[in-house]
Amino acid sequence: MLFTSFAFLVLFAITFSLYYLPIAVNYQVPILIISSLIFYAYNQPELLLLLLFSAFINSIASYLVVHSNLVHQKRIATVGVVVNLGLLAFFKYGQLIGSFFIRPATTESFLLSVPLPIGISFFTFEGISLLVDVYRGNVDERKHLVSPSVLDHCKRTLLFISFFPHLIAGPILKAHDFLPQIHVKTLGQINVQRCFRLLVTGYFLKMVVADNLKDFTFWIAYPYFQSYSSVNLLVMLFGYSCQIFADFAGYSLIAIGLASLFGYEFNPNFNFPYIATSFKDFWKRWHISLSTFLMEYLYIPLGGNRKGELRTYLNLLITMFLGGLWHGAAWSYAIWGLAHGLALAVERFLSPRFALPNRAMFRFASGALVFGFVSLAWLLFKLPNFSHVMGYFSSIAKNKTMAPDFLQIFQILLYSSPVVLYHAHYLFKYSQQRVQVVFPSYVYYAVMLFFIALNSGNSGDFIYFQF
Amino acid sequence: MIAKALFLFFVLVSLYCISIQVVQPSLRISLNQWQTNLVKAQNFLYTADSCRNVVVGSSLSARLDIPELCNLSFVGLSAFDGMRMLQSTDYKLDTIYIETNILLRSEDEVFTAQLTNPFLFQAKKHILALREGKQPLAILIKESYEGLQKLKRGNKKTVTAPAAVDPALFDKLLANQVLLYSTPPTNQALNNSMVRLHAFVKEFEERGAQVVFFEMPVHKKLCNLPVSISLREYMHKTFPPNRYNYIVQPDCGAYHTTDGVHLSEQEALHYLAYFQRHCSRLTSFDSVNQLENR
Repeated sequence: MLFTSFAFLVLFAITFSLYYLPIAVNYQVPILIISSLIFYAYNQPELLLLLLFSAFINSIASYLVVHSNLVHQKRIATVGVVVNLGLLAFFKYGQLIGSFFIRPATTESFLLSVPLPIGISFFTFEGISLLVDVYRGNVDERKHLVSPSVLDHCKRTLLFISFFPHLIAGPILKAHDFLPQIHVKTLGQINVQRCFRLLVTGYFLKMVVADNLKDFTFWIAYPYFQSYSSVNLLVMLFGYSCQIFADFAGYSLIAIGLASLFGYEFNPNFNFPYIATSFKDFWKRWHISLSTFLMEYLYIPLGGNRKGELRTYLNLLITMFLGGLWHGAAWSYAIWGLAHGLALAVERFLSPRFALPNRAMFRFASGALVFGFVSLAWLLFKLPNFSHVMGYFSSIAKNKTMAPDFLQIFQILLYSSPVVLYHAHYLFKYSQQRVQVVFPSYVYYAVMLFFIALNSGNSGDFIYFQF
Repeated sequence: MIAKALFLFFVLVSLYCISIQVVQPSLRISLNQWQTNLVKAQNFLYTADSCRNVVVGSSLSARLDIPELCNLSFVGLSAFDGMRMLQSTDYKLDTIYIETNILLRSEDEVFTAQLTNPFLFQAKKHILALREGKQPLAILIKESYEGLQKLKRGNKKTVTAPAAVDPALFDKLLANQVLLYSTPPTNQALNNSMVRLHAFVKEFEERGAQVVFFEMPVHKKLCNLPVSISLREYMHKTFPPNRYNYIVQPDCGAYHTTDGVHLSEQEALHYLAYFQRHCSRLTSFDSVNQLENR
């Protein structure tokens, strides 16, 4: 179910009304669970069983970790993590693995027929987070994560995994952030103004910016890009960078706003990533819930930067390679991750040796370099076939003499401008220069609502749904 | 803050709706293919009461533009989308012309849902500003772009010739199409398409419409590749030519395309003359001479 669909509006209205009914105070968790299961089952009802199975396995394994002796704890936690990864491997990477290692046609066609359950990458990682947090936690921390009653713990785990605002496209929640928040909520606790700001900005970014840009960046696809001029190809790439940000940051803001309406706080998932002046900075600002997950549960356990310089570079490459593969079962995603890992490693190698002066000009140049690299790398998201990516670059180089389509350029720049202004606003807010705000904030929200009502693009899936 | 924002929002929306309703009710602007499809479909659903002859198809037949026909051919979609639209209305049709080139592409459910959602349908029917062709930014873009163009041209009246297709690019595009047309479709895919098409045809015939199939000309290299041949064979098997009307594909060698499958504007007129000559034998309208003079 899409956050932008009419069906979702109805589901949300019913859930919200029931949730805060005084007589339903003790049923808030079941109300959210039922609503989340309906949300998930709306498009793929048959895959609801998988979600329930995942929640069940993680509930039982985490419960057993707490209630068993030291010898068994590690074994149970390991088995739980392996089951999670096994589910992910089977449902998400079955085709990729099958195409490489398994030859018999029947097995291959069976693997090709396995449907990709929406949100599996998100809820699997959340399950792993629960098991690792419970295993690593001390007695006090475990108390917040695992209830004494197994039934109650299953209920809380199911809510943690299935809570609809984050269920199908994140942000990836960590057990230690979410589970302690489960208690009775009242209407008075809601910061309505904050929720309003988050939801309006989120819906504006998604429905007006991303959904409109989508129809102009569509032509990046093979073979259409071949008939565009170099300028158009570069502008389309810029537009796609803005689209992917608006799509995912918009989704995350809506998710955070919705969760907040039910009394749950999610950490921010984006922090103006396109102003980053280094690759490290970029990954602290882009899809923060994934990068912190990879940092806490992969990079640090691999040794992080504690085992020498070479090992640090290797750890960065492994982490980003797997982070890339997390996005999808295609080698293009792995290459995308590897490219980012390489950029992080090179930056780490160069930065102590060639420190740039802290001047605005250099910061701007670094920012442009990071943005340029990130934008070129997004092409791997749009063109999963690597030869098409190379074809795109070759068209940029070859189509210089073609007449640019100025109308298309104008449209892409116009629809990208909110993303640029959004970042510029943040930059100026924290710079030493004082910027005079021309209108009171309600005017901006009214204008955004106006465009949501009258200028939304064709409603499409969120890009991160496929991950 | 929220109350002020909502109040201002209602004021802005109301002003815009009134200005569209009063000043520019017939304005229709589309800037991308999705918008073009929606504007075309909404125009048909809300205003084309007197349409008795309808063409349904893909981008290949989107340029079949004559007053006697309502064209529900959509870029990037197929004849199924047009038929689904007609199915959702209680239109009285005399003739439906179904393009058979792109029948392996199934219907786009998002497109259909956007047009047939009962709430949105009624809202867009009565509030013109909610229709896709009247988006404020699209109007702004179009107006400013045209303004800039005028400024650039000054008072000189220039006629822009259609851009010539780069031969190297054309070869690449054609090679892509050859590759696509060379992969024979599975029997299951063909069967599914025919079953779906048969259901539509049956329904239109029951409503009293005459069904005419036509195949658009494409590049001569594509005319007899496996996809074209299989589709033709399945069509003839499901809808025998002795029972159904066909406007057969003309000699592909006589037509030039821009990318292997789409006719240029001039070539579309060329085909239109052929199409109308055959239509006039089947139906009541006849404006061949008028078209041939264009």
